[in-house]
Amino acid sequence: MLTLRNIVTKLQIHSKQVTYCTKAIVEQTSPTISKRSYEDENYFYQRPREVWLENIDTVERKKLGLVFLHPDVYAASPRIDIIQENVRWQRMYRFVCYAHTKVRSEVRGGGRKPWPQKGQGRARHSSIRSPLWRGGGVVHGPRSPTTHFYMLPFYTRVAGLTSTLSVKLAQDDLYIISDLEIPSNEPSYVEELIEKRHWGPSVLFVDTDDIMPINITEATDTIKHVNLMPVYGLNVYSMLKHDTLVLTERAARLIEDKILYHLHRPDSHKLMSKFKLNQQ
Amino acid sequence: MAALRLFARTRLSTLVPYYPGEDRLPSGISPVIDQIQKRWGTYTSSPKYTDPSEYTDYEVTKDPKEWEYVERVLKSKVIPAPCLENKEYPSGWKPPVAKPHDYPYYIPRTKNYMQPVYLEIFHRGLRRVTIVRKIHGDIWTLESELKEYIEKRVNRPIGIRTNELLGEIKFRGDYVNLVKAWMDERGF
Repeated sequence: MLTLRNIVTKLQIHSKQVTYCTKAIVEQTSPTISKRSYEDENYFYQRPREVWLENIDTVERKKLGLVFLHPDVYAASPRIDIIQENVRWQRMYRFVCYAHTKVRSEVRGGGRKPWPQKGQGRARHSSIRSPLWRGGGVVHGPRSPTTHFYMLPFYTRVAGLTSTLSVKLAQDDLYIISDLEIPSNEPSYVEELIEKRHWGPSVLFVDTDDIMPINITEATDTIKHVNLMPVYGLNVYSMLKHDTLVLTERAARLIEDKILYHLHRPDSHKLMSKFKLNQQ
Repeated sequence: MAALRLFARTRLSTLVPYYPGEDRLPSGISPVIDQIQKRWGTYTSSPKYTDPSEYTDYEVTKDPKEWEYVERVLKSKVIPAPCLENKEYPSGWKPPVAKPHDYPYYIPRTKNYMQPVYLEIFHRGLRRVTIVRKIHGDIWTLESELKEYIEKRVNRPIGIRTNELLGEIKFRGDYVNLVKAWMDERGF
């Protein structure tokens, strides 16, 4: 039984290796040039950004092709002021301050007049918990819970994304890979890959869907500074938090599509109105 | 609001005043109100769609030819491109003629195919500032050329503020039409 299993596993391994080799040869012969035509391509002052398409199924870096990206999304002006606004917004909108002080009515005691109004030669006082007293209430102190929720204007959020993507690409911190398939589920493989490619230490992998291949999910599960994220979760804070941003090609295209849609949509005035909590 | 609350009552009996002859609940027991509040401000509280026979007949089709008629009605996801042929239009609008690298600088059109020149009025109408946005390339050459053009026509020095990172120039004063005329000359 054992021998049979051994033979089966060996066969499987060999068959895998064979397919792997053929795949590699095919890729070498035909580099993929991922280029799109845009409606406004005659009016580009900057040429579309060119990024190598890489693989992650081997530790060695292979250039599989070239990806051309829209300059409005990946070559925007590096507005660090807008990036800072976005980071501040992301930190603040979820922050609830629990600092708390008691006002004079909440401090225990102080119901009785400490001494008569007149005749003692002492200052007039009505309560020992008055804010003038030691141990008295606090005037205008912090009251818990204080929310700090606010919404950043919609197009400031969009500009935050384009600025951060452009900054990452300009600083050689953005890479595009063909897909997230890796041959092993060992964390050491991912660590070796990052070491060899001079990525990271912290790396953010972004794909279109939130269901990722099993190997990379298991391999990155225990490495806390290597994270996976779907496109819908991409944000300025996470992009800055990780040293390197690794997009799959389809994720890069989806981000491009979504941002270009927002930059050109006709009903943008609706997005720029005041944010209401009850948006019925 | 009070009227809304009245209409929101499901039973009229709770509204009708009490007459001694009628069979009513003994005094002291308040009437049961099924629903205290109903929000009429939202369509979600209206009754849900149930029986299709009550509505207009329809049939499901997957014919792409018929779908074209639907697409005509649907809102466009981008602003439809106008005719960019270089000729006179009754509105006075001119299509962009200049290519991106004809000049050391370049001003693309906005998503509405208009020139990105705006007038901002503030301090209760006391200050007017002309803003030119989306400037690419050598912004300083553009600034000096525009300055020369405007100062020649208004016969006085004008205040200018240039921001290279934003690609934006601000002129103190209302020179929107002058700037637009200059841009038309260049074909931006």
